[in-house]
Amino acid sequence: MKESLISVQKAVNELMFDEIKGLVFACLDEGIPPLEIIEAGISKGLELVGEQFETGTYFLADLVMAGEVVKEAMPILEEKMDPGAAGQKGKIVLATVEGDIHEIGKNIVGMLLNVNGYEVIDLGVDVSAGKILAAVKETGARLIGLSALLSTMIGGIKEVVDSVVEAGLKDHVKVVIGGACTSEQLKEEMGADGYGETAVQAVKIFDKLSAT
Amino acid sequence: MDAIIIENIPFDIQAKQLYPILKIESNRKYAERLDILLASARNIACPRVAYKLAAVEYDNDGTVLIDGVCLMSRVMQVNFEDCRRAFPFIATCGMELEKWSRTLTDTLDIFWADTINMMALGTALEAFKRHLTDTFETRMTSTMNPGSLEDWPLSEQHKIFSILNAAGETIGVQLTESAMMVPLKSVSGIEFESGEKFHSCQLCPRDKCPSRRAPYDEQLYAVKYNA
Repeated sequence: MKESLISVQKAVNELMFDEIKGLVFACLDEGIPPLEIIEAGISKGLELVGEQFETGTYFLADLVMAGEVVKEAMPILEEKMDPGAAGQKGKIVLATVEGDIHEIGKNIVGMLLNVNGYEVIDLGVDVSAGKILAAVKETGARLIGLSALLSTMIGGIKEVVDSVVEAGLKDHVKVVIGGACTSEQLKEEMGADGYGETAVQAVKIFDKLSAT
Repeated sequence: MDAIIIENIPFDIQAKQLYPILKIESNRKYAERLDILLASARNIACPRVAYKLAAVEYDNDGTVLIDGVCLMSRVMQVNFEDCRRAFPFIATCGMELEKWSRTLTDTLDIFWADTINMMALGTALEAFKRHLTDTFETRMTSTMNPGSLEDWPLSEQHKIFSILNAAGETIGVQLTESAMMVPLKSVSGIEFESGEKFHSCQLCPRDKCPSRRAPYDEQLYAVKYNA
C-alpha cells in the first residue's frame, strides 16, 4: 500500500486533527482516487480505532474524536467525488425508540455509519414505530437501527419489528438493535435481525446485513 | 421525616480536567470550543439532591420495607440485614443543564455536554455522601440503584419517588411511566451503611462497561444472596 494512504490511516487512528487535511491533499496530489483514499485510508484508520475500542485501549471519547478527524477530511474528498458515490452502501433509518430520549449512543453509531459509506436518516429520539415505518417507505431504506437504553423501553423495539412485519416488509427491511438494555437474547425475543453490542459492532452487523 | 434538599452545590470543574477525558489536550481549536461550552454550563449548573432518613423494617417473609414501602430485591434483603436506617435519594445534574444540553445540535457538543452533565451529577453524589457523613456520622456506605441489577428492576424506581413524596419534583426530576428520569443525568437509589463495600457491578456480568467500579464476582450471588 502507498505510504501516503498509510499516513491517512495513521492520522485517523492517532486522532491527528491538524494533519489529516494535508495528508488527504497529498494523496490527491499523487493521483489517488478519492474513493480509494476513503476505503484504504480513512475507513481502514477507523477500523483500527474500532479494534482499539474493542480491546479497551480506546474509549468512547476516542471514537467520537476519530469521527471528528474524519469530518475534517470528508468534505475535501466529497467535493472530488461523483455525487452518487456518497452513501453508496445504502440508506439506514436510525432512531431512539418511543419513550426514550437518550441519544449519545445513537449519534455515535450514526456518525460511524456515515463515515463508513451509509446514508443515515436520523429521526432523533422518542420516535414512534409509525414514524419509523413511514421513513422507511419514503426513503426506500432497507435497514433500521434502533437504540434503547432502559429495559422498560423494549416494547418500542417490538412495535417497530411488528410494524415492519405487518407492512409486509420483513423480507426486505432488516432491524438492528443496540443500547444498554439490549442483547443477543433480546434480539431473538423481539424478532430483530441484528444486535450491536458496541457502535463498532453495529457497523459490522449493518455491513453483513446490507450484503445479504 | 420529611425529605431534605441539598442544593447550592458548587460545580467548579475546570476545563483542564476534561481535556484528557475528552481526548483533546493537544488541540487548541477543540480546547477553545470546549472552554466556551463549559463556561456556559458552569454559569447555569445547579446540581441537587433530595433524600430522606428512612426506617428499615422487614416483612414476615424478609422483604425490605423502607418507610413502609415494600421493595422487591433479594440482594437488598441480604445487604440491609443489619440496617435499621437507610437514605433513599434522588440526585440530579439539574434541569438547567438538561435544558441547555437540549439546545445543542452538533454531535460533538452533545457528547461533550453529556460528559459535563455526568460530572455535575457526580458532584451532586459526592456532596450527598459528604452530607451524610457530616450529619449522621455514617461510616462506610454503599448504594443500591433500581435497574442496576435484574434482582431490583427499574420499575421499582417509582417506589423511591413515592418514598420521597414530591421531593423529586422539588429538585426538578420527573419520572416517566417507563421509569426514565428527566433530566437524564439523574440517579435514584438507597444509600445504606454497610460493613463491607457493595457495588452492583460485583453481580453484573456485562463486560466493556465504561462505568464499572468493581470486578464481576461470578460466585458472589450463589454464595451470599441465593436464598
